[in-house]
Amino acid sequence: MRLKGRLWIAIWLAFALAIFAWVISRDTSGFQTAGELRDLRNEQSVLQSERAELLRRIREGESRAVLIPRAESLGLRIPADSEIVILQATARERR
Amino acid sequence: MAKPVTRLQAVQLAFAIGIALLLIRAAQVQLVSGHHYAEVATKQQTEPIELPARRGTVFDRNRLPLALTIENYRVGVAQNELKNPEEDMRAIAANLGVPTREVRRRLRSGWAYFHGPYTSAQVQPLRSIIGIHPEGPELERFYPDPNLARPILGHPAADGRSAGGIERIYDAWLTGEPGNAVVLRDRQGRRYESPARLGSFPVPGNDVVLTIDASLQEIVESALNDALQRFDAISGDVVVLDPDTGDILAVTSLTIDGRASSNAFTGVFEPGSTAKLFTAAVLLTEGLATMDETIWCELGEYQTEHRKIEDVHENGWLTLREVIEFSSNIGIVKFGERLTATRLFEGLRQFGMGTPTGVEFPAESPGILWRPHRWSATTHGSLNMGYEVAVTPLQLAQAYAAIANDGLMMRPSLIREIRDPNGALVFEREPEPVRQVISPEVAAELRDALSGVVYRGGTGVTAALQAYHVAGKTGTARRAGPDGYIPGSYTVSFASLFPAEDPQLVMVVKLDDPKDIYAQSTVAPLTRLVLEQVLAAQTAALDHTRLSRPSPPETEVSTSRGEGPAFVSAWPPSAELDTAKQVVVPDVLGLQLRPAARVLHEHRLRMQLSGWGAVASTDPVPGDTVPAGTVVRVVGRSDEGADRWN
Repeated sequence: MRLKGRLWIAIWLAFALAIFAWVISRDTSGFQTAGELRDLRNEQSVLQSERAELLRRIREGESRAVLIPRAESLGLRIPADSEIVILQATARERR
Repeated sequence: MAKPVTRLQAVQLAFAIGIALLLIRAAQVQLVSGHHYAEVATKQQTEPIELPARRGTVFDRNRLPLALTIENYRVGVAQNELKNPEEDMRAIAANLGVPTREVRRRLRSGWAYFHGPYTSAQVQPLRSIIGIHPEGPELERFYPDPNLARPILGHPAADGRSAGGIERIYDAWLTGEPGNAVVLRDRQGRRYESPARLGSFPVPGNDVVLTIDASLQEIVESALNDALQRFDAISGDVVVLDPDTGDILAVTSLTIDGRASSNAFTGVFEPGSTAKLFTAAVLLTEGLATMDETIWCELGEYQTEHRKIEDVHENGWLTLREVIEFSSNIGIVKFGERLTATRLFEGLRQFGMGTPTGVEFPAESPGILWRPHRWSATTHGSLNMGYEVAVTPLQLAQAYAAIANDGLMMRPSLIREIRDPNGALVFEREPEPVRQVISPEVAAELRDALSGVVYRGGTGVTAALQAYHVAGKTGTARRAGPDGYIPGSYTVSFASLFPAEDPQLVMVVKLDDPKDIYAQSTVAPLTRLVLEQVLAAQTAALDHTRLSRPSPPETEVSTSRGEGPAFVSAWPPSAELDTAKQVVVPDVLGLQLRPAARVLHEHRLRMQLSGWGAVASTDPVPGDTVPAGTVVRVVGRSDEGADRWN
């Protein structure tokens, strides 16, 4: 059976539209993925900067400059060496 | 009117011509000018960008980050684009930490630029506000503890500044490989990322793990800072080494105004009485004295042919041990007269005087030790007392570490390991023996004398702990300036081993120009203070298990190559040489001087050097059989820099 000319045109048109739709959807998806990637990168960057800031605060908080005055205000002091008892580890603990 | 068929043919012809023209033009555009148009389009629509690589992190020995890389931003604000100016300004102020009034003032000109730098966390809430334009990210160094070990860490090269410290030495390891990508651009120049256009991912740099222990570092920095204020000293240094491995556990150099420097590696001073131990070591090694041998100390005043030497106390007869314990200048000078100039020079050189330690730090000073032919009439005596020789605090610590380590000198190091971004080990530093400076027996005798300095009424009694033993030696020396010795100005130092029986730490503490010039009342108590804090702290620098053992454990030291029994290429001391033994001169031609020296020493041969660079020839030649201890004359390819050994 022979197809008429108009039908051929319709088929080609549909084919072309399908190609366009595929290209556009691929582009859209690409941009969407890129956007998601960017968001993830931002999130990672935010988390890393928060981690760095937390590290800084922890180091500051546990520094001797901060801890010793607080300990001294509570009546604590650095022990003399004779006041330090080091318990001998068992052989198993040493392993 | 033409027939329909004819009209149809005409239309078909017109279409055919039109299509043909279209095809010709398309061919022209695509085939002839295609490249040109493609280039124009690419330039208009895309932009190649470099993706910077994250610089590796620097850790302390317990994997605590000391320097890491974070992303920072600058923020531009266009006032006319803001939808709710008042509300947006408040958001800007709150997130960037700038007062609202300041934001308002700066926006009056229509455009404000906030240099920051601001972290991602600060910038993130502002991204959704129209009119705010974050610029970046830029990868920048961040120091969780900004003051800790900063001169050691240094800084990467940036803004025209050259790199320094560890960042410079290990720059090639820390620097990653940048990636590249192409971003799409629209008509307004806005960039759109496209995953399909990523060229290569950036590869982050390697992580460097230092030997520094952050807890110990903090203790010594804080103690030194306090001591500078308390004793009104202009500057000071502290170096703490692990004598078994050469690991530098802590190092700091501070001035009274709080400036930190790398003086412990680059600045030299005359060690004074801390160097008396080296003369004693040579005397014991050569069998020219014993620790119990006595000498008359002239009741505190000794007139030699060229000078008068004085002691602080009017000592009479003292044993060599007591000479060290009470730091008698007269005693050590009189004992030292038994040594030839060459032997004294060799002995001091064995302890590393006048040669760089090889630590991984830029511009390390080798110190000063002149060859005997340049000595004056007073040099011999001066050297016995620690004058006319200059060392860095690190060199002094290394020399004392050799005594702590049964005479085995280790190369000091700041680097423990290097790991790739995935955490895999790339490089691990093995402890590197330099040479066997003295025998274990001599080292033990010296440690006993150092114990006496602290526990038998010597000059270091104020360093004494009660439950654990410290051994050490005080030193006080006049400070030299550009025009000679500065009147009334002294450097006090204390080199210590802790614990004395099984040293885990070797510490050198030095203060410049303190108002109290006695080490006994300055650096010795400072050492005790640091040790007390170290004992109380949860620092891995001190193995508390070893402290709790009733007797010192057996220690093993492997060679840098990690093979065979513990053996070190030595500068063979005469006492240990069996000259009856014949050895074959090894082939060291083409080797650099240091490896050549190592090979010759391993074959129990001495080395005399001429020139610099790779070895050009030796005398005797390789393959000759000679008695052990023979001096092999090694000629370097270049005579330039021969004085670097001086």
